[in-house]
Amino acid sequence: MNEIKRQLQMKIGDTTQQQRNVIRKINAQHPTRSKKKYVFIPATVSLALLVATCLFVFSFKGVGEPSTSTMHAVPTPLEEEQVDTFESNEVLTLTEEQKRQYHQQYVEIIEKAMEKKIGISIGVSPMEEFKESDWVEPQVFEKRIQAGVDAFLATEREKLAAMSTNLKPAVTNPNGETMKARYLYFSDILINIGVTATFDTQYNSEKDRLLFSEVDAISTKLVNHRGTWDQTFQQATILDGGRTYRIYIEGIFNYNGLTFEKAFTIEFHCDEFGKIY
Amino acid sequence: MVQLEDASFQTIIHEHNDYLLQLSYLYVKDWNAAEDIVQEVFINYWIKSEQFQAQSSLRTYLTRMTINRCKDYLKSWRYRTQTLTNVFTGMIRPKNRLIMQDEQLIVADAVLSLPIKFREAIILYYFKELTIREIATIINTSESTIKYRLKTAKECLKENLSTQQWEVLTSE
Repeated sequence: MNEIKRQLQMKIGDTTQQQRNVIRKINAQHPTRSKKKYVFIPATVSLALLVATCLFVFSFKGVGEPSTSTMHAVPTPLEEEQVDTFESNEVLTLTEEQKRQYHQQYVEIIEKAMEKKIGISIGVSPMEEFKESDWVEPQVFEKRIQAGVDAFLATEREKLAAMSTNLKPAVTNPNGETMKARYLYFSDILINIGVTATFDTQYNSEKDRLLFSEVDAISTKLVNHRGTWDQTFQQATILDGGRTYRIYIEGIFNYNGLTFEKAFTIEFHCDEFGKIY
Repeated sequence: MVQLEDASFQTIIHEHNDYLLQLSYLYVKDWNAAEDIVQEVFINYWIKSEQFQAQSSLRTYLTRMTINRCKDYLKSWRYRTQTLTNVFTGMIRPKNRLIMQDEQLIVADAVLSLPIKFREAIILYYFKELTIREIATIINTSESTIKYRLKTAKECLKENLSTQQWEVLTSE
């Protein structure tokens, strides 16, 4: 082997993990299904199918099957521990009617999990794609989903904590708009969202300081990342006697054909001189 | 029309994944970006597999797609501004760190610091061991251009490396 090749090979090292990541990313976008039957389906139907079946495949797809879920990208002790607890080798024998009922319950469980808008996209594969070994009691299914959600949240906390020191302080521009950023974590993706709002402050003689009086023009935008972010909901709440504005935001992040709903809060504070941070 | 079924798609992934990842990494020097690129290549191949002409080998076809995407990435704003997504992937993997403690990969570092056109020539010729003709075909340029780039790349490496290191290369 030539020296250049040898050294480059050593520099690269073992790519096993990266290969797994590639497969996981592929499965997250296009789970292993025959593609041709979807090619000519209208875009809206495709999108619905993608959301319903393709975005996120949980490990409920069978014991011993390699996990392809993006949620399992960063294994945590919590995740491993809980998955072990929920695994069952028992293969259920179900009638078609029972399968339909179970599938409906799976969908409801997923919908409930998605209502939390934590930034993951979970779908249930169509019933016909379930293997016999995939069927589990709905309670087991729910526990697995919860384990996945918990693992995701644990990873999110870890990632956000690691990045917290990189956040820039709030900036108020000459137009009176204040922008503050925070990170949002989606499956394997960390994005930076800038939240901009215009605040009014008033002097409060009783407290001898400036306090928030009003907020207006709340907007959010994606900073330094591919994809799109669409804000769908906002709600501002004044707290702490006017010292703090807590803004609750919901939005949809689109990236590489994947759609994630996310809800988060960000706080703006007003110091006694009216400086917002 | 080629009907690319799941099993064959998976076989293709397993067969070419490592090769394309290595190649992609040597272009973009970022594992996360390399994974994204290879993933896009496979997905695109999956979607457009009927467009694949069997005139070239599948590996050549995928290699060309990967290289094109790597170059797009290197031109992109994402690469130029070093977005947040690179923060985690920029960390040195433990295994590599151990290797680097044990051995200074001076030649590899020198190759990776070359401008992309020259780095590309070195990677494809020495690392992927393609012929000059194959390289010219893949990156759609003339053989003489590849020869020139290889020659210039080696001169750059010679300048950057100590005499001792360079002797290792020339003795092969």
